[in-house]
Amino acid sequence: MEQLPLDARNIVEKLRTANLQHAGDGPRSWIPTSSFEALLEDAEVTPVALNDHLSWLHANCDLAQVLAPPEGSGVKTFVKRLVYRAVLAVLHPYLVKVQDCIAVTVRALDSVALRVDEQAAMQMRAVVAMRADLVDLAAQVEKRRDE
Amino acid sequence: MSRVVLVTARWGAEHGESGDVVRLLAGALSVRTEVEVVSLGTCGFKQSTDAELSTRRDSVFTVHEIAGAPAQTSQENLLRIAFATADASRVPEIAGPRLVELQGGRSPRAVELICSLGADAVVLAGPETWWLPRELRSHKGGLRVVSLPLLGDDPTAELLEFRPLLTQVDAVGVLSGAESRRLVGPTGTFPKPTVPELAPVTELEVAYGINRSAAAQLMVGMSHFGRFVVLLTGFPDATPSAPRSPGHDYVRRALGPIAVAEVGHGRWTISDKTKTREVPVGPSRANLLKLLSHAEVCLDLRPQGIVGRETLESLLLGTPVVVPDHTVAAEHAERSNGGLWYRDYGELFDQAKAIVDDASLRDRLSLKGCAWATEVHGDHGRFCEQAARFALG
Repeated sequence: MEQLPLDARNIVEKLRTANLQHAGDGPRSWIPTSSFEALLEDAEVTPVALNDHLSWLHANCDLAQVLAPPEGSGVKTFVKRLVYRAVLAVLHPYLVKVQDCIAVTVRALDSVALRVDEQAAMQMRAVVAMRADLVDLAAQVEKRRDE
Repeated sequence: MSRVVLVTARWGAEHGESGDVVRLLAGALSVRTEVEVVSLGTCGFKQSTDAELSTRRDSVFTVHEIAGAPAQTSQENLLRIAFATADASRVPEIAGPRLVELQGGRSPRAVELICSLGADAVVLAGPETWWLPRELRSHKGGLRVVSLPLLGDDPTAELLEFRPLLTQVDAVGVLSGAESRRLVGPTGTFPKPTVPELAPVTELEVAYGINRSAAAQLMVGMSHFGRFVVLLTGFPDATPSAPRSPGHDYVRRALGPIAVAEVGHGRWTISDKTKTREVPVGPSRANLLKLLSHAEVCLDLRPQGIVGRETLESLLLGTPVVVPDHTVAAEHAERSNGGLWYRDYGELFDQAKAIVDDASLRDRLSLKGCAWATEVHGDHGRFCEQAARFALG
């Protein structure tokens, strides 16, 4: 079995690096992570990962459609395509870089939001448990007083 | 035949994975020794002389139960929460000893009972037994006493009162590299202050018996869904049902045509693009093994476990795992090369997709994981021997 070439750590690192290098390919894994936490969904304060601005970023960070060649036919479209090609010939590397930066930024924001929401969830869990215990305690004090 | 007394406050299914592990240890010990279990209740910090004592049979074990006083539970929980959440400097000094005492079921009857059972060795499992080494030594000097002090991430394990479990016993057992590092490692937070007289530490590699032929049977109705992954969102017990986790939908969407079977909180569901339904059997360990056995990959969304039982079982069945970083399960995935570990859900999806899309990677992870798990955690006979050696010396 030793001969089977596989190093899990390498694969984990490779996947992490690949995500950074190919971030411009479009959004792949920016699911609002806090949505896994049922506690947070019932919270009085909206989880950071469900923040409107962040949601907007998730929905609009992919520039692929904006950067697609103009569709349609006719002279006007032909001219537009010509300009598109000329512009892209010069600006393509820059635009790819911008797309990458946006992608990585959104992903980084999502990670930060996850950490913040995790902390909030922990705190809420503690508060919920403490409330229940206080209620218990109050009931026992009451019971003892009655006795 | 030698006689071993296992003392714990975590006997029973309600203690989750730590309860599982204690029972597994008792089972392993019972192969080579006679085992009696003393189950401690939480009797309160005032020494209770009239704690109720009862004896019953539980499978092959005789269990002596010292009943607790439920009136103390709230106080214990409040203190535990204070420890887990508050700034240490603001927690009153008395709170530590009080919590440990509340947890310890400190009844003189327990010591009398243990000594009267004529044991060759006493195994203390869990931090709640912190007060026993000293008392047992003073009652019966030559008795062999060993402990498994940690059994999880309890904040009380950091307290000074806990030290006798490390220093006044003949041997200390740990269940994972993480526990071992916590006790003796250079980066571990425990012990505070250092414990130079630490008893010898033995790493116990638990082994779960897996019936591979039973697991190989496909569950009725599952073939409709084709390829699927298992998503663990809770411990697979029969607790009251909860609504389907939102994570279920996200994972399913991320994996395209692959169905997702969600296991957790008493209700198991499976869904693909068009339909969602409850898995057509009740939650049970045997059914979980069937699911794991046929899944493409097992995605674990749960926090830290003590030994990562389901991860080990998945590896034993040859199903790769994707688990949270910095957990015992991640340690297993790395040591075995049988799985990947994630820091955030973005990475979880990427890794799950990579395994699902790449058959060669999946096969290699599966073979490596299965070979490692079978070698290290698959030999129940060896674990029984190891457990007996740990207990009896």
